Amino acid sequence: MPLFSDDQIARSAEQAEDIFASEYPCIIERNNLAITAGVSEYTLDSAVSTLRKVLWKGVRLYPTPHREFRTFAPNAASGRPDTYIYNDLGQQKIKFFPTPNETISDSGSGFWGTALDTRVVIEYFRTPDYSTYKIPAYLRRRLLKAYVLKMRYRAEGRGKSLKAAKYFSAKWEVLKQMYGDELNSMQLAPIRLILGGDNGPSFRDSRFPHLSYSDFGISVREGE
Amino acid sequence: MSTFAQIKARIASDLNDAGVSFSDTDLTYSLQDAYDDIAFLTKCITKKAAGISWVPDLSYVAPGDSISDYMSPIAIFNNVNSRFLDDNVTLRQLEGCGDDWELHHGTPELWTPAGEKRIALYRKYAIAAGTYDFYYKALAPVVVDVDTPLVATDMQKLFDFYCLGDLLEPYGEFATAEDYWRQYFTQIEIYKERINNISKADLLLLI
Repeated sequence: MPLFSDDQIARSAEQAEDIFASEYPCIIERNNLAITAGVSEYTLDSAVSTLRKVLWKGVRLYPTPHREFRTFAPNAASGRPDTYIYNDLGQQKIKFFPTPNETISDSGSGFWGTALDTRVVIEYFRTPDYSTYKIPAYLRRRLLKAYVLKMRYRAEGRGKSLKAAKYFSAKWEVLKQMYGDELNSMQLAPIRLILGGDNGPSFRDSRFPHLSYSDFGISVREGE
Repeated sequence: MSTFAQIKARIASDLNDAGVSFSDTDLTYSLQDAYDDIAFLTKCITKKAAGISWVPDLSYVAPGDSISDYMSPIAIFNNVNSRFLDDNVTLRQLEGCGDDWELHHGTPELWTPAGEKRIALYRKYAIAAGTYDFYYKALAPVVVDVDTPLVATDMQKLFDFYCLGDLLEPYGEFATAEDYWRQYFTQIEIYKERINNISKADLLLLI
């Protein structure tokens, strides 16, 4: 008879995945909201843990602190929203200001490109669901194993071993930090291998296509 | 350069086991974990996917959808204008292009990682237009006995350290396992530093 049941192992694995995704957010997803004219407050999915970005037909909306938002209320202005407040209104609630004056339907896809100019898209870190949305596969098995062994050896019952629990607890902490730091550097830091000098993006760039910034001007020899 | 079969024989010898406590399957699983770990922490496996079609009107590319062993990006070469895309920007700097930068159409010039799965592009083609070459860090391949690992010869000891620590743990040999892990993590950092310096020597374009 095995020391630990499949249910116990699965439960510990899910706990480990929740802890890692909470301390090192890495599961990014986008979805869209169905907007109704005259309605400013909407409820987001329970899987949303932190909002990253809100796009109103491709244009970014800016978050407003609740303290500042109080200066808007009870303003009944309606129009195209340019700001929002999140989660200080109730769990998973988002409120737009001004109140939307148009109805926008939702769709099932295209949130990373094609549907941006016609939908209200939210980008967020989400909680894992252990099947479709999981922490990266290339670290998942080794990381969760340490936590599962830590918790199972600590639990009361036939398999209890405080020495083993202490060992795997230390291993879990080391792996969590090592993998988390490596993951953050992969997903947040630019590579900077192909350097483009100081000609970075700026507000002067318009949304209409034009020549690449590196094609402007004429070349001259050094000293001319 | 040893094959995986030779590495397994070495590990079994160090465990003083003739396949009684540790089967060939146990050794293979542990070797695969070691290979995955080394590839992830050191990014030692570099590959190129050539001729990927630009998807029109797509601000964020998910390379993992078309490349099975994709892990992290290195560079993008646009075959349409024969230029590398500039990677010297952060996602926050892209926001400086305007509140609606994700709608801007044109020749892609800049890219930056946008999470673990996606890459943000600025700008994007409005209609289908040619291909690009994609350089990336790859996941470790599946362990096959006759293959040699894509790891420097002098760093193959990483497999020994990892597997010995990994296989001794379940038997309560914590003190011995801890020593192997200490050696593993020390050598991993050295190899990782060497890999990064090799990449610096390959700097292709500096304006």
